[in-house]
Amino acid sequence: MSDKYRRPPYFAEQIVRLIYNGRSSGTRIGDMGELYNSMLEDRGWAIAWLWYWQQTIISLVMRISYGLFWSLIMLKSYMITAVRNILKYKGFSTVNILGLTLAMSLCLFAIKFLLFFYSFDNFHHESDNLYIVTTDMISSDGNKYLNVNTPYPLSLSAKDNCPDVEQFANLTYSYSKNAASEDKTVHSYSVFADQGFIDMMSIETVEGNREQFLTEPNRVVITQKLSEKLFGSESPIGKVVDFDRTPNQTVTGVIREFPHNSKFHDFEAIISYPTAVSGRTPEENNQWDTFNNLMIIRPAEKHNLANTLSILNQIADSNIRSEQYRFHISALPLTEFVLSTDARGYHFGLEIPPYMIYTLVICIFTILIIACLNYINLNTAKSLTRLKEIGLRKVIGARKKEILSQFVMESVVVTFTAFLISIFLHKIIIQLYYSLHYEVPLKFNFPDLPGTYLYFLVFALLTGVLSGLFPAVFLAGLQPIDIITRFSRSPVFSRTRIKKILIGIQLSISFFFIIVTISTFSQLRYAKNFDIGLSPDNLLTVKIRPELYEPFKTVISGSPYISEISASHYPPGTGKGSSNLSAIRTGVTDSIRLYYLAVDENFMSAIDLKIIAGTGISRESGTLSKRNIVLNETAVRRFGFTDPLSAVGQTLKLKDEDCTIIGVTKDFTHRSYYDTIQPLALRYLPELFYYMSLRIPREERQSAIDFLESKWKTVAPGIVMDYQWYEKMVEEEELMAEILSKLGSFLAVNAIIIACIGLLGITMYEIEVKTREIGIRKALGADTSHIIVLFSREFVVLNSIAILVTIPFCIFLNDLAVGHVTNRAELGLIQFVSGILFMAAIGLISILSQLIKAGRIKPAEALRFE
Amino acid sequence: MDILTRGEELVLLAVWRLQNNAYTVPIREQLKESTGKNWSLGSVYEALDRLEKKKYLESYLSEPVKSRGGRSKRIYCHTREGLKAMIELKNMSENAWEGITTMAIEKRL
Repeated sequence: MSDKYRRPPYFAEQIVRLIYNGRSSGTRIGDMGELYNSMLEDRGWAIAWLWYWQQTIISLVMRISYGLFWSLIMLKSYMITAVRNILKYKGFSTVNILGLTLAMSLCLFAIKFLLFFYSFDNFHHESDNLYIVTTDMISSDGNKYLNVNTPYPLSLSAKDNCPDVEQFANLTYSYSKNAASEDKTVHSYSVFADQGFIDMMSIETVEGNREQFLTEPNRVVITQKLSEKLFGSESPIGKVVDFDRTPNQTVTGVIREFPHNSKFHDFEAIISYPTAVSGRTPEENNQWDTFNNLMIIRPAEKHNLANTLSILNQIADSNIRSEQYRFHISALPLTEFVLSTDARGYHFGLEIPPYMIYTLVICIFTILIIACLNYINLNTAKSLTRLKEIGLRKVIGARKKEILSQFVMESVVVTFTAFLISIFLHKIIIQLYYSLHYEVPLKFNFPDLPGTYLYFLVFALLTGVLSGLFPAVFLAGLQPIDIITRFSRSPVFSRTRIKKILIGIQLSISFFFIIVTISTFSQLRYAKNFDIGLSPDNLLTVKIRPELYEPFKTVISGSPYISEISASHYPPGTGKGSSNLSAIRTGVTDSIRLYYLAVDENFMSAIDLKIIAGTGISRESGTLSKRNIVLNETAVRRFGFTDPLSAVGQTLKLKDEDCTIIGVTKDFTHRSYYDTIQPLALRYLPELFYYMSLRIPREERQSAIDFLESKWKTVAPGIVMDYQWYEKMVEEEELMAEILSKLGSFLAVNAIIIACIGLLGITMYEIEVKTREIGIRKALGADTSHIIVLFSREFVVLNSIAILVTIPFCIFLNDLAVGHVTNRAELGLIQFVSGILFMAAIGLISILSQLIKAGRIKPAEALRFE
Repeated sequence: MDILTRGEELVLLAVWRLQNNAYTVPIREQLKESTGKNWSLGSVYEALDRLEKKKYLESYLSEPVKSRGGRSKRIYCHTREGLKAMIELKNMSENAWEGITTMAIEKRL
């Protein structure tokens, strides 16, 4: 054997050093080196080198697996103790797990809800780089309106003049409601779109040549679903589909449905844009003041829009002429389209105002935080009863770390159980959510992404560790001798004082949440009862053209099915309509933006508008002229009239015409539920009658529609009658608000439940601790009523303190949360009083139920407790 | 006495046999000889570590050795506990095997 020592592979040696980190690493490297050297001599360096590495890896694996094995055994023992402890206090653990489970399920639901809205249209190629070109309107008084549409000619110039844009897509509405094959007619949503749209959207092709889908006029691409509805299992390629407004479209392709998390989810048929263009006159195709085109662009270089927008703005400035507005072209990310409820122009698909999402998520996470606080608080309070156990463990030789691990483990077991149950429970919550409104399952779909659960599991375990850590650190730090002597005597650490503080905190939390819930409830009730000021019931709206108004009215009047015939520019309260002009009250006000709605003499009574001063427009009084206007209350205020009556008979200058105010109506929602009410004038303008509203008794609906369709054919041959129930249109507009208000009530109920669980838990604990005291008192002759009075008194005092401390918090947070909402219910005395009453009731019920239980305990049994 | 694994038991015996030269390399040789199997260094270390943790073995360092790259050997020897454990082990296995002969087993084969 030569004396020369050869060094083994350096990297492997370092691994050995790491594995046997500490005292023995030097000798072990020595052992391995010695063997390596003898191996080197006998078998050559290659074998020796391999051998060294093999040994290193085996050692590593063994160290890890043995280490894991022993810590698993320890973990198992912690686990067993934890489970035993949880089972020992069954009632208490149930309360804890119940509260956490409920909150976690809501949280899971919130995460899915949030992910749903933030995943809108994110599945397209370069989805974060898709932008809708908007033509924002800036009115003379400085108001800016987001308008997601552009004039059609702009899309043509954009294609020629914007070198930075790689892809263009254009969409416009089709007006068609139905699609028909040879033998079937079905209701379907269709749009016009160009080939660029197909290229931009990452939607799978089922059949057809994708490059040629929409390049020529009279082509249509349909979804698989519509294809099945119209043609069954046959291939639809080459077949003809008739749409109401554009018959004779040849199917060139079939695509999959747009998923739920797409603005285009409703699209069932995409008709080629050239069809729309060829259907219009050349003048119509060159109108710069008609905003009817939705343009989506994809910049060649990510997010590089500056140049493109300035080019588009130049084009717009030199072409769009308007006295009312200045126009500014900008871009809206496609993924944020769903949040743009205030956008004007062509709207489709689901929309939700961002503040509603935030409010919802804040609500749900607050519920979780409250549940955690409940949990921490209850656990800390309970662990006070385990002081003896800890003392004993310490005396036997448990170290701080071990007691800490024990408590954290218990908490982790509880949260993990809650997590497992909530995986099932949140599905029930989603089902409940689906059942809130029949439209919900059509619009929403929460996919089961494994990642969601994984993140949430980490989150849940973290919650468990953190909420277990607080009582654990507090308890593990105690010395056995302190537990017996100082701890029970020192006033600072006195058990009763800590307990009282904990109970006080718990009461404050519960009270705070009850107040928040009550105020949410009143807010929701306020929103629900918020009167839109018109009644759309039993009205059928028929889309007409102004020139059809008189002839159609003539042929249908006198029918037994129709009791009232009226016409207007648009049906108010359905999100449509934004025509306005500037008006001046000469000598009193500057120009004010006045919205106007064209109505005939019957419309106001048809939608049941309340006239509070003057009269409406009527044929008899000879007010059937556009010079006579009826204002709403907001307009009356804005034009500086002191009261509605004084406005009647006055004149306003609308653009250049002097108009007489003949009446004033109560405010009503003239555009959308979400908008604030603007100054509005109702005028008789027959050239703007685009909608007729017909009153039809409920039982006559079908026969009335048949009758109308037969008459429609005589006045407008070749055009399909486009009708819709007015109430349904209003309902659709308010859909999201209604869904969310129902969801809010649901959350409020949950919040109350969780707050009560906390309250119940702390009372249960309190009584449990005092079982022996009750026993002694009973043995000495106290009866149940005495005991109830005695214990309630302490609760009343603590309650009062908690309430007094919490009220300012509530007021402060309320201002912070809903301060900016215009239509809101104030947080007032009523809310607080009902909160206090609620609290007292819940408190009393839980105290009484527990005390009666305790009161029934036989003294001898109670004394044997513990 | 804790129940030892078979590996720990064999290591305990190997240390006894090697007396003053009981460090990892010859222990491994000894184990190879008595079991006829190739032991990895890692498994020897795990067994030694556990025996040391149970206080059946203790160790000291030798003088640095040139052929080991100037590193010491860690030489193991029994503690009192370890010696007691060995007696117990011996009794235990003798008791367990009492009255069972190889021939009797082979007959059944």
